[in-house]
Amino acid sequence: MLDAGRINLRQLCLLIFISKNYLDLTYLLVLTYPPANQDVWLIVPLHFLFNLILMVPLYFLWLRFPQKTIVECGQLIAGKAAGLALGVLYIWYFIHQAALALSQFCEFLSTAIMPETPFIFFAVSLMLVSAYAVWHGLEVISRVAELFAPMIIVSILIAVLLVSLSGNINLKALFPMLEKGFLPVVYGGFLSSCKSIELIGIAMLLPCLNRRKKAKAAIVCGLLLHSLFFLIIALTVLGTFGASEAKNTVYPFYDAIRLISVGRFIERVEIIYVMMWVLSAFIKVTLFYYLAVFGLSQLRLKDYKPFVLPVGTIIIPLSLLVAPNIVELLEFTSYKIYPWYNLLFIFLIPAVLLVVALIRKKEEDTQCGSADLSR
Amino acid sequence: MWQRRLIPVIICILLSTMLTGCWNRKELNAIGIVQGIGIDKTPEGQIRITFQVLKPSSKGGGKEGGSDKAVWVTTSVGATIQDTVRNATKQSGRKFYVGHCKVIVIGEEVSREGIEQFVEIFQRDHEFRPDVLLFIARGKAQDVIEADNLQEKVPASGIANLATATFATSNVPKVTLHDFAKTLASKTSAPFIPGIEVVEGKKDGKPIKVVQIDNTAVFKQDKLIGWLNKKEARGMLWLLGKVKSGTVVVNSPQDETQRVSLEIIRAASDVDVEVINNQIIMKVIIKEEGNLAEQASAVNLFTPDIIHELEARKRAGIEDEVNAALLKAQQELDADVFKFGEEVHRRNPKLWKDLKKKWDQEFPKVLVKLMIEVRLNRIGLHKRPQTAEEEG
Repeated sequence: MLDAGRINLRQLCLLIFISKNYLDLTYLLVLTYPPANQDVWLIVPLHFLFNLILMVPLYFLWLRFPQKTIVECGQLIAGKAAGLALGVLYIWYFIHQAALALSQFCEFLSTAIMPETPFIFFAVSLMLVSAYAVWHGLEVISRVAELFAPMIIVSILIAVLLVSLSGNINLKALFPMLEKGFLPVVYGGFLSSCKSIELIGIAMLLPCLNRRKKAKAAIVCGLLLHSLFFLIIALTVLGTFGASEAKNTVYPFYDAIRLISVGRFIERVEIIYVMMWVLSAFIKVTLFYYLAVFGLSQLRLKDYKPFVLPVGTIIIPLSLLVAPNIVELLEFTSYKIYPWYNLLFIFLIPAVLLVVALIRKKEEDTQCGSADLSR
Repeated sequence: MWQRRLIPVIICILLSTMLTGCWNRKELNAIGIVQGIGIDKTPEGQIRITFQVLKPSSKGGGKEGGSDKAVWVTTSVGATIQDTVRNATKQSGRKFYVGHCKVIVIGEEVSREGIEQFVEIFQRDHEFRPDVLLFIARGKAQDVIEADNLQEKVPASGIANLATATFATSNVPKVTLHDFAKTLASKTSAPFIPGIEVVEGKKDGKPIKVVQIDNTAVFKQDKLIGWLNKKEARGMLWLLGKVKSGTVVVNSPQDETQRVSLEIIRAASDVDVEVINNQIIMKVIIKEEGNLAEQASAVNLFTPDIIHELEARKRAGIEDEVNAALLKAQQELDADVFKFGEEVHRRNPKLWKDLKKKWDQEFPKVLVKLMIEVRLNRIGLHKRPQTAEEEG
């Protein structure tokens, strides 16, 4: 196995946070998830719980194979041919997710900021920077995440503070609570946790962790940090627009920030938002771009660098293909399709692999030399 | 080795080309900054928009109260709003930029047919601000946009200032596009928008046209159905808890022919819902605090008893305004401007399921139980008029 570099617990935690926070900043898809009324913010704690449950097979798989990513595990557990197929499937999944994230990034900029600039221009500019980061490897990406996270956190807090100072938040909009009962909320929490594609990212990154004992704490911290900001954003949006109007907005949090007017003096501060959002987009796209390249190198090869540019050139046109227009993008990422597609990759395949590994009593030490273990 | 160092340098140079901005640059000398928009329809059913556009040269000309307007007013006609804005370039050398538009005025006549079709683009288009102020013109919106303003060089900012100033009396509401959209989205609440009308003014002895804000337009869904006068509008704002300042005038307790002004310092309202035998009762608590601002009668009001009497009269005055609003909204217009429906939904979601569909029939039957708590705290810097007797 090639040495991908080491990341520490804090970096893993922040990568999870930024990457997961990305979608909530812009599209806040949870507003349309069942129960699709003022109760959607109750989804957040359930989202966190379901995330932990979904993480279980990946986590135990990693405990059995502490040096192997999911792509390598597939080959060890399911045999060569099936393992290769699984690996290819996962690499496709990472490329697809990177393309989706890129597409979401470009759609926002072309809708809300610069409608006349060609989509491809945003895509190429972000991908050039991402490719450069991927070329330099995981350590660089995670250090950048460490640098960006405080900026993103502070910007969100400032934005929320300004929105509430403008007097736009009315928490009366959160009532009545549990109007449709508890079950739709649980269902919504389940669906919303299924879009946590970062779980599989964690599983890819865990072998690179420098201190394995505390991995659990880092995962929980990252997910918890995300849930906290998810809640803050959801409450801000619901309080500002009310559930029925919030569902009508394409970019709810951005629209809430557009309304900021503190004493008719602090106004038009959307650019804070654009800043934090471009930073998050960079981390998200780069992370999945890196995972695709990294996974590809693990199929057989020794180095990932030759794949950086080819994969990049696949992602750019794919980002145009996955979403020919924004309506199709939103339709695909809505609760009807997207969670089930993700569920296959983040839960079902790992769960099957784990069961097979348990039955066939496969463990890392019996399969590969201990040379990799020396650190 | 030097080639490897060259790569970051080349990337930096390439990236810096993007910092200059690109396709969407808008040079200040190539755009016309629209300050106000008035929407009407032509007799043929086309949309007619009147624009108030800044004249760059005369803005900030330095001349105090200068005679020439800092804006240029033009009209254009088209099939849709977008079409009309684009058609305006037939007369304008500069492409219109609406990001700084302060007010949108909609004509009374087209408002009766529904205004969602007009405000839809303002929510969709990224240039418009959601905090633009909405007004309904009594008559044609074109006249309002064309009218002069004696205080401001840009009449549209004059209108925006007027809205803020008039709002302080709590006799008209201040409504932004965001407020309107939010109310409209609730489906049962009736949106309202302040009215604006053209009146005769005088400047240098010559009569000119100026605007004034008066009355409040009430909508059913997005269609104008009626107007609240200033008393009814304040009654509505009391119920909504939106009264922030203003004056209540009552008769003087000692001398019924004279008046006393009571200033409102702060007010709030709280609405609760009770259902007894299928009868919906809204229990509204209005809390008000204020000061004695002025007395016209030459009598001594400086006794605790009289202050209590004044409080009672103020309570009656507020109740009178609220009842006027209730009468108009429930019996005449059947429009839930008080957002009672949303409150029933909030407090009693089970009941609301049945009521939602037939709220129009239910709303006029709703009983309102008013609890008004008023306080008169301070009397200002002076105790009593000089001619008043000291012992009441």
